[in-house]
Amino acid sequence: MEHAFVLPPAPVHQLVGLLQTLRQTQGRDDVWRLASSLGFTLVDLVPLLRAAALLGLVTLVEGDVTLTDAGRALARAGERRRRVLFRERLSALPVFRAARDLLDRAAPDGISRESMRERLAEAAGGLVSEATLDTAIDWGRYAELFDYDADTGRFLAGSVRR
Amino acid sequence: MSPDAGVSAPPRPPLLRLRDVGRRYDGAVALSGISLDVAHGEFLALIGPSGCGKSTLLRIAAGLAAPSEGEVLWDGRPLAGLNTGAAMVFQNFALLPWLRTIDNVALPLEARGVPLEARQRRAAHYLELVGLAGYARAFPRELSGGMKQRVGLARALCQEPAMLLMDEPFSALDVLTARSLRDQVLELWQSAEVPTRTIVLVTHSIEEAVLMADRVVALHAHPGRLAGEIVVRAPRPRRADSPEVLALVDRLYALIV
Repeated sequence: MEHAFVLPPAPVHQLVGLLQTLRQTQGRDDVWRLASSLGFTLVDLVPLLRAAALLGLVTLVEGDVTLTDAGRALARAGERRRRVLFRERLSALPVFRAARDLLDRAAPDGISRESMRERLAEAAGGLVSEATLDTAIDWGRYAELFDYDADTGRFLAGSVRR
Repeated sequence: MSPDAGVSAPPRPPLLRLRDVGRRYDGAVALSGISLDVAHGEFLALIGPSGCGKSTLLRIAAGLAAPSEGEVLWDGRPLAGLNTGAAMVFQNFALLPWLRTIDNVALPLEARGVPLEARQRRAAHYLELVGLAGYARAFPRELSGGMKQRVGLARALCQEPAMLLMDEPFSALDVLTARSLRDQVLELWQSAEVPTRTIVLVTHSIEEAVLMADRVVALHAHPGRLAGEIVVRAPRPRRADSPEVLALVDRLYALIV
């Protein structure tokens, strides 16, 4: 499970756009062709594809990318439903389960970024990069799984609504 | 039987009417002889090359610029000063970096004198509608481009304008992010939860205009003047590779070139 705590840098709305694009080609495309039709280099596209595969939204086999049922559902959903589906996908990933578990047991002022990184690394049995932490914050916020305050540098469990 | 039966209501004036509008900057003519109506509930796209004055036209509709000649009517009455019935989404988002997301969204409401609690509630509601409820406390620097523009959209919609003015809102975004945002704008426009029913979109992308709008108006440059228009009847969602869309894109190219 050495890669379980590595999250590729993939903004949520780029992922959604990718799924919507694949939906228009019967849910399947050749990776190289997809990159050229989007005007993306493979360097731009690969992290997105890896993120989508990690979330179980696509499968990658022999240079082809194919939407899964979950990916198709997410592409089709309206905004509210999409967030619920995305949260379900995140909850299946060890890094989000571990982060959520740590926050559930933390004090109301949450956990500092450094402490979160160290404790996720302990749980993973390996290093957790700053980039992975940034992606976790991005996805976790979108799914409303947890919040992060950049002023104090702390992860927060509580509701993000004021 | 309704008391109004047999009596037809007077026709409703267009939400926005431009009559022979022109605009000069320092002696140069930016726009000339523009006559254009935008109906209630219409999604209109304005396209044209740079220098065709499409952004100037949007600023005139917003009341941010006055025409040098001609007349602007808003819901049948002459528009004077800032148009409080319209709100704008900008190409480069125009967020204040020192304010959290929710405070950026609420800012125009503060200017309109809405009390603190009401504006926080409304801003939270619109952030939720654009899918960014979880980002209320985030600062703009923490957001991707697609998210920044969603904040810009929430900030405009939260003023509950009759007309949403969008100035090249997708052109600073990569193609995938732009696609997901286009879908979201259409979803919100068709949603019962958003009172805004009329949209004017300025874009240099002919395909984007045909994919989104009910009607596309093309402009010539130097000076900006009307080149022609097409009506798009294809049901949404539209596909960029459908014969109907491709044919309309071709016709618009012919109009502009």
